[in-house]
Amino acid sequence: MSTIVEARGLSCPQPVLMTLNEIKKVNKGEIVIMVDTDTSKENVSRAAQSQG
Amino acid sequence: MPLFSFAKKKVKSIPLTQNQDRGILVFENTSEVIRAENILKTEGLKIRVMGPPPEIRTGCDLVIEFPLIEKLYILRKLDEVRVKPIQVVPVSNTLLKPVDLFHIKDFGNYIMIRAANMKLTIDKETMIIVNISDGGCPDVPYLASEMIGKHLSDAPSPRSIGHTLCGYALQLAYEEMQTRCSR
Repeated sequence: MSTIVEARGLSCPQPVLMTLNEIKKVNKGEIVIMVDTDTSKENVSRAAQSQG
Repeated sequence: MPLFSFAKKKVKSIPLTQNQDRGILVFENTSEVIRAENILKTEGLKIRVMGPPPEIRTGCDLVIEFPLIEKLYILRKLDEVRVKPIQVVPVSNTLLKPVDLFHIKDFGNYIMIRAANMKLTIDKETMIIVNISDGGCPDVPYLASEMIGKHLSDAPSPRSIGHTLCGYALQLAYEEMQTRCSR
């Protein structure tokens, strides 16, 4: 079951920080990050990739 | 009280913007501003990168403010490295704004510094850069890909890999972050 992070309406770096906090909490499984701008999507993707 | 600290208190530095005739160097693009700033600072000159006054309609979004008394020396140094300003004008008003104003926000485990239009965020515990955002310049994705995930002290400086106003602003945020994190 995936964890959903609701980050729509938030400006960076908040979606990124919420993503990183969730990655720290969840060891396994899928995390779905909800964003509503392309910039947030890129920033979140980049941050997630940097976590491996 | 030790003599040195007494003497130190008596010394007053005169800000660049006061009691000194100033001029501005206008360049074609931000890369040239960054190059010129590096060169002139290396020479020990008291210069500052500023936003241009409204009457300057040419050039890029940044100008270099300098003491007019150093004009010939500065132009010679820039000529040596083929960085040529498109205008050199005396400053006649106080409308210049420094671009080194910072906004700092603490997110608990993370700290963000915004300089002009760029935000830099690091993890306070690990000092790893976690986010670089805003700006809208074409080199921001590249700057982000080169810096995110790296320790603040290991990441390349935006000055060395950036080419735009965003790179310049990010450099300011990066330097401010380094200063704050070294305290």
